[in-house]
Amino acid sequence: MIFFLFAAEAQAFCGTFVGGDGALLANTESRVVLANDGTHTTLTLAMDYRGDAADFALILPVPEILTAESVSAVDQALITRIDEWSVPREVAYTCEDVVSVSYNVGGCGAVMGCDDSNYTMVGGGTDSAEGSVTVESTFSQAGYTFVVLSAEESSGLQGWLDANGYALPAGGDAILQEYIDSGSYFLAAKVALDAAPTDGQWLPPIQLRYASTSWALPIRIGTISADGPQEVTVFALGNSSQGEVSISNYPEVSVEDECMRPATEDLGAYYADQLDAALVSEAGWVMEYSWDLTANCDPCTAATGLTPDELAALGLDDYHGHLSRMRLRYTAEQATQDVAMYGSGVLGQAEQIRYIQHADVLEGTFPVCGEGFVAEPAGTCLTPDRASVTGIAAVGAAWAPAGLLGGLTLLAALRRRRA
Amino acid sequence: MIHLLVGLPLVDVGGFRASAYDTQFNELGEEVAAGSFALYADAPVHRFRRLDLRLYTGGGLQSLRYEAPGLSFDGATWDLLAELGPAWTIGDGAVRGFAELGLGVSGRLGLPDYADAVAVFGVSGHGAVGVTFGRGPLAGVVAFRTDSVGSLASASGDILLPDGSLSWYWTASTFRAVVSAGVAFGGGPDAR
Repeated sequence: MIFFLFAAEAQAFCGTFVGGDGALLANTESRVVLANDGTHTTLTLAMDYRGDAADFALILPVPEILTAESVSAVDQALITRIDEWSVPREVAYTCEDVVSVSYNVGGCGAVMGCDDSNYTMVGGGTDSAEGSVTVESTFSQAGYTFVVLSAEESSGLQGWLDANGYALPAGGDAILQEYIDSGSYFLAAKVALDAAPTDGQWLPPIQLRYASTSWALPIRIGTISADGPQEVTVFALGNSSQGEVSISNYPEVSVEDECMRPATEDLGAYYADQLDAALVSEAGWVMEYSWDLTANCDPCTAATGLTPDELAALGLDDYHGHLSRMRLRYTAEQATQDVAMYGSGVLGQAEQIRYIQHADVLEGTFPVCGEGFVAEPAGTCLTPDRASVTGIAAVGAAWAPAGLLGGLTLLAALRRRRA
Repeated sequence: MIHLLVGLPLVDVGGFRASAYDTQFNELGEEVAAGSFALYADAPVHRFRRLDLRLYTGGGLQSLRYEAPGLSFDGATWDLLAELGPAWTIGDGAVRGFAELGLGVSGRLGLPDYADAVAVFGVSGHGAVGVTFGRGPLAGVVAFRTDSVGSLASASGDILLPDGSLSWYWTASTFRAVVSAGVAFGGGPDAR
């Protein structure tokens, strides 16, 4: 029985939100799918938001001038698929799962055990220049209106944004200037929703494609509109030569898993507590999933894995690649650099966050979360049971003549020597 | 003469195998012990001009211990056999050769950890050549023999580990090449 972890309450974003009318907006969760083939990056953004406005805008630094051909819409279901496939999970085992046995007694059919685990899922412009800002391109795509800007001074950029209805919070000049100095362009996007949300919901996901030889994620700009700690779930799709993708410039931390936890406690809340404990003092990230795309999972959270078509839609054409899922958390003060990642070249990794529902009979097999193995578990699944015998049956004799043949061969050799 | 021999298998195929891997397919454990032995006894039931018809009995044990982090697995296979077949004595001196063949029935009992035992009966066969030393009521015997039991019967199991699984497999089929040594007693000439 599997339990999905639904997204816990979090703050996140790798661009920065601005309100078209200056309304207070906040992002509650971001999911970023990154695929890099060594020359090009495909960046897919799925962003949740809270706020009281129906008009939204975001600003994202990009390394080149994007056009309508390099921006597209992505079905939210695709993001949901990759999230649910790799999400931290919980499994309920019975003794039949811990010890499974199959008997084949000469085809007579005496069989016990060996049922599959019983899995159940729950939840979880214009072309003119204004001051030092140049409008490089404008286009509409996926319900958004995009403007690609270049700038020489952050004050000019801030002024352009203000003049064109992008209410960027004050205090972001220094960060904007960093991106300007590094040669970045800025993608400003607006979307008009049908109505202001009454609760958090998803903005239409967008996908950007641009030339880039490296794995990078601009999180610094997101801190301009940060509302508390920021959290981003990064899905990195590496091809077969890149393998597992990891973050290089923020520390990796680990959370305890592969242990039993009380079945009565909500998995999402429990995992959030684990993350809070692991990421209490500094920016860091947790590798939540790292598995080859063609390999099986343990246990799987969906009937089928990501298909080649789904992966291609996310920018990966190599079905023999690798999915790395990283949970990154930071505050505005801690995010001193954009996220840099690298492909390790390692395939065959098989890591996931998994918990086991506590059951007394499993104490000989799994440790208890926070406590370790029970010293002297009583009555575990591994208690030997030799009281019964399975499969009294006559068996075929296909091999039996082999001993006779061996003896006959020896006899023949002896007779030849005597002759 | 009645033969009593202890056998030490040189080749022993069958019985239990075990392995454990983590989720990255790295082997977790190792086989820390494996061994087997056999006991044989046979006696003439009818004496023809050039050969004896003998009743062959025997039994043996194959055992395995595999250890992975947090778990050890023991598998043992006991077997018994009863066969009938001819035996020839070669020579007439103090040192005499012999050759024998047998065909009969074998019972095998597999005892895996954490699971029911499994028992099967099957047809077995053997062939052997050996040497008898000395005359009189007690003589020494050494022999080389091959034993086999054929079967389609098998059993397998998986045991979940915190970071992987341990798998075991048992087959009732077996083939052994055995060096055996023992005594011949009871008097009376063997046929030749």
